[in-house]
Amino acid sequence: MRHIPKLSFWRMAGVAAVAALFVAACGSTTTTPKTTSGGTVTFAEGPSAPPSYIFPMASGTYFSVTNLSDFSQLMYVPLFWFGNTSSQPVFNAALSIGNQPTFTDNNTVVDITLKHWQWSNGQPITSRDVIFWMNMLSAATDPNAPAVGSSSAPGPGWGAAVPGAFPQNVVSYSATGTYSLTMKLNSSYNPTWFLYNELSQITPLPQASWDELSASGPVGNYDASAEARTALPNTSPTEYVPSVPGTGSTGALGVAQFLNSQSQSLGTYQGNPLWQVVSGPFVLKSYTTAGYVKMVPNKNYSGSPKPTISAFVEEPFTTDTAEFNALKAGSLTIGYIPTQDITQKALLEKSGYTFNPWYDFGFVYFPYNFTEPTTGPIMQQLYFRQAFQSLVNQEQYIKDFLAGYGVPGNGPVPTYPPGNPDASPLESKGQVYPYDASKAVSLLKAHGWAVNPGGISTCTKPGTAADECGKGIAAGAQLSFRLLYAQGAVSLTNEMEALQSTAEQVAGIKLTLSTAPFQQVIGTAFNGCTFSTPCNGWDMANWGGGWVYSPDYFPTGGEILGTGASSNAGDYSVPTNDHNIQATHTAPNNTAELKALFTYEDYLAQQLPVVYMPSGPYQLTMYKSNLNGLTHQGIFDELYPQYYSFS
Amino acid sequence: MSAADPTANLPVAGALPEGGEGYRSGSMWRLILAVFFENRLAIVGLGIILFMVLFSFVGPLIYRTQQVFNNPNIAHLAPSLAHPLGTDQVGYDNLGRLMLGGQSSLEVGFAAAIIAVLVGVIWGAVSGLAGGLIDTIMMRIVDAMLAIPFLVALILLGAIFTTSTLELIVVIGLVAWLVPARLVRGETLSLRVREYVQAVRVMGGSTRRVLFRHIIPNTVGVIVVNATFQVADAIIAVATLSFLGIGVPPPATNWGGELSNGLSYIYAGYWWLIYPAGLAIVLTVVAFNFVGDALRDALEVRLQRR
Repeated sequence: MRHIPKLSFWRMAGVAAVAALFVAACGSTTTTPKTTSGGTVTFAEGPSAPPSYIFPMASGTYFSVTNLSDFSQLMYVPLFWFGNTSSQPVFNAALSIGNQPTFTDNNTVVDITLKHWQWSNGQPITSRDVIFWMNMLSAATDPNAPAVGSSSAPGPGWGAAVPGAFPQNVVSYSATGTYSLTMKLNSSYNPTWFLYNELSQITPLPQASWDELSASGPVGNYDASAEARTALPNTSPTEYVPSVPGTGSTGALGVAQFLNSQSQSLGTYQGNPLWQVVSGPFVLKSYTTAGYVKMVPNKNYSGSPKPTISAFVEEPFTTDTAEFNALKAGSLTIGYIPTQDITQKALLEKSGYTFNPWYDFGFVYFPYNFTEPTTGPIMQQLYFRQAFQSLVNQEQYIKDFLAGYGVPGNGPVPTYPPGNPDASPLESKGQVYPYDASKAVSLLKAHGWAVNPGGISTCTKPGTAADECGKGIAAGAQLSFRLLYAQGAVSLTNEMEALQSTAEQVAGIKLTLSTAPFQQVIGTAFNGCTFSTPCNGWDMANWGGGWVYSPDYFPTGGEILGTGASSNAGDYSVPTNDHNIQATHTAPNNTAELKALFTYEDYLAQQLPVVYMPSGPYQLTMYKSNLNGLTHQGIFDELYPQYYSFS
Repeated sequence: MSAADPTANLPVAGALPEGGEGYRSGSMWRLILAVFFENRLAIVGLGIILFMVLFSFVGPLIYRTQQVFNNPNIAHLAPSLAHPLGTDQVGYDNLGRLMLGGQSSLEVGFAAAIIAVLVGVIWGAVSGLAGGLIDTIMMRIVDAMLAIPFLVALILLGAIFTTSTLELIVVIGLVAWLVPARLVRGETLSLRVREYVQAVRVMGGSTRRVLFRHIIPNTVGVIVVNATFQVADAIIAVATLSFLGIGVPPPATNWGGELSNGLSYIYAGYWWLIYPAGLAIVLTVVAFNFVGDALRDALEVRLQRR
């Protein structure tokens, strides 16, 4: 297993523990706070970002912290859990259904054993439930599977899918016992990477309750036909041909499609018996299409600790201002201060709240849509991306819009908190392309653009020579782009307006801004845009959060920047980058692995596949001071309400 | 109140025509104006409207500010001589922003009102004049659309269309024509049975002539009064849409959008981002209501005869 020395976190934990003891000693005659069971914890959802998908196998359209880390994972525990309440980005055996896997035969065979957990209905969680997930995942990520809905991606999709990677790099998988299974891999892989980025994608699902093709049909073994395959992918392509056009297929894909359709039916969540069979510490009690969620403890939860609160509620808000009003009114147990209201921190602390910024293991960016027929060729030019990145005044955004909480984004590997050993020396040193307006203009002029500050710059020298605009760019082409961003967060709005103004005023790059709710933005950006099926509805899309490395806990980036990856929003596709990513998968030891990672991230820090934005805390959390269990928050933005209690 | 020779416009013989005494056209408008200007609130309202129009459209010619490119380095400056109403969250001068926002708000208000009245008048007049099945169908369409809450319809249309000033005008106009349609239809039902309308028909006048020469001109009182309220309603509608984040994209702005942005900083104490925009909306809407009330009084036939 890969070990990540997070000294800074241990120090933070130590300081916090000492501080907590000191506070307890000053405020009470006992050193242990008296806790009580029961009580409802009310958690504030992000602005205009309510959970809208419950099935754990989420396609790129639904692959978000809101839907997974903060919602479905509370009910459906992954086979291998990562992160802990001390904010360590590590494998957490205690919270996992599976034990530490073993790798043999030169790391080509993985043996997995399960603890003896049970579903909320009392049935045991067995290897069959893991096979059930594997079968559906194989079907959902099969490139030969038919597209579902408006997405151009095959099958229901899986947001973490990477062509050639999991599960296609698994030659076969089979149960070896009620609580054990084995997987044979198509090559030797680095065990750390395989555990952190591949096995991490597995979530056991209740096969005995969910293996059906329709709500009225019987439960069967419909998924098992894929299980019988000995090689993946596509040994049985006919398995995925819909038996009746428009109604989906039989087999694993049909089951996945059925569960996907049930998950898209938001209005039925509350009464749907499917979602009442859970493995996690909580089970859904209430849900409204506006995003109100109420979960109550799963009485048969096998993990530890067991929940002691009586309910966990998630409240939706359309704007961060509305959320802050609720926080001020004291109606939230866990909320956040919008950066524009940071001056209210002391007042809230006096009224019984504790301030605790929530840092995560991710980076903030927004993608270019390289597939856009008109503007894509422009954004494919490195000089343009360099010019555009040079217009992003990250230092100013941090100072003026993020209240000083954040660091500039330099590349795809998190540099925050400082001291992350995964960040290369180049990334750690600072921005490769810091704000430099004159450099942006020079770059454009040097490549055949008539720069028109305050207007729209146009290409005057089409062609592919070094001083010409580049391939696919015609004379008269304009630097005019549509930038869609998530509504509701003032800091993001301010960043986008400032970028729009700078880009046009300095370099004649016109950005037409538009806003939409968070789910709509990611639905637009992650809609399977590829060069064979291009999307022309957007040029750049900013959902305001970038990417937290989950379930790719080792930040090798294949899931977001590898060719053909489901979450590669703009279809960035460069062979050198793919080669660099692949090298991180197969490095024989940790030293070689880190070296390969540095090569990968240095390349992307210079190639700018996306627009790097300032990375700050996931949120500036404010929680009721009588709430225990929130000293540290999940570094992958995951929640641990089973640890919460009131004192 | 005095009036010009009341007999000048009377029929040759017989009783007074329906609708009361007739007046010379010039006299009638003088009378209307006289009644209108008796109303002090109307004068105040007119003054406010005039001020807002000058402030929004002439003001930027005198008080020149940068309203296309922002400057976060001077964000949230308190009012000073350099910036009489301070600066906003990205460094725009707030007084200049208020003028720019006023242009958008008033343009949308007037234009949407014109669309609403034009569509509503024609729809209502045709429906009322045609009667029968056509009237039933046309009015059920109006009823069905009226059943959709105004705000819901606005948000729905606002979400469908990419918002720009022109599209805001169309969106609000599409929702706002229903009330004038109902009002004019009611008037038309009354007017179509009058003798002079029947006389036109007997003399072979076309339906178009009846509609545009005799029906619609006689509903002008209802139309004018309603138009003023439509302007006020449209200004509120555009402010509401912008407040909900469906307004015009930056760097364009309007008072609703400015108020929405300002409210995000209510706890930071940046009062200059809230009160001016809020006050501008309230004053303008109230002013149009004052004018509308006064016009209704002035155009009310019975009041003319008092």
